Amino acid sequence: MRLYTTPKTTAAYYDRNPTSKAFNSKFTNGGPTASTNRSTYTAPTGRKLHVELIWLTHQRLTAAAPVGEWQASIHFTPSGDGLQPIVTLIDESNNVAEKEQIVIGHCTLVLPGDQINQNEIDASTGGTILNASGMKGTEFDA
Amino acid sequence: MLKRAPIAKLPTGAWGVDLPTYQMLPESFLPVTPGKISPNGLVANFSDADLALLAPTVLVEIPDNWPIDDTAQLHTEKLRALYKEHPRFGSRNWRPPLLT
Repeated sequence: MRLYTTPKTTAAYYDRNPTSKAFNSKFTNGGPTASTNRSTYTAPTGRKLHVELIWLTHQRLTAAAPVGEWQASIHFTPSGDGLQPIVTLIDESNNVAEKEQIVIGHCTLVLPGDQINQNEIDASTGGTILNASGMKGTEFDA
Repeated sequence: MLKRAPIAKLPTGAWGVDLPTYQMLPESFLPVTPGKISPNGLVANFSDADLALLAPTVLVEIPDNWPIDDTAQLHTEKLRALYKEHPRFGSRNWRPPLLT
């Protein structure tokens, strides 16, 4: 048996002038909250971002009256294209301590001009929720 | 670097900061206005008129390596060049907001 290896012409992404990028937010919202982008990352020219980890958590802290849809999302917008939600937690529970969480690894590549952001919204009346979300990635030469 | 930036209505309809990259800090929205602006954000029915009247701001963390001009503001031309692949941040129609 003969083993073949593909000749490498470029170094691995983590060896191409890498810099770590991390975003993390934790907001306690009192009552209804408008759709808000808590953080945004746009890949600069000549660089790309390998997203290695994304996490979203949201939890109801106190009951609303009435409850509306409350959600936390990660949005991805390709350069020149429309916004796409790629990870979303949606809840309409009014139970205190109701909690949802998701953690995803190695999920996407952000090319120059592409954008990724964290968005949250609470359409309830009254009540409070906790939103925590973030991501970690490695930016490298394109 | 940590800066205070104005809140804007983004092209997607969400509220945020009109910069390519930023992270908001919790408990930093100003002016706190009952029924309109809490320390952590804007109420669901916050309107364009509220934006013009109250001019909310928020503390944001932005990249330390972004170019700064002689007035200690973000350098418009260099920032556009840095994000030239982005249809808006790379265009001549976009200017970065004034930071404090």
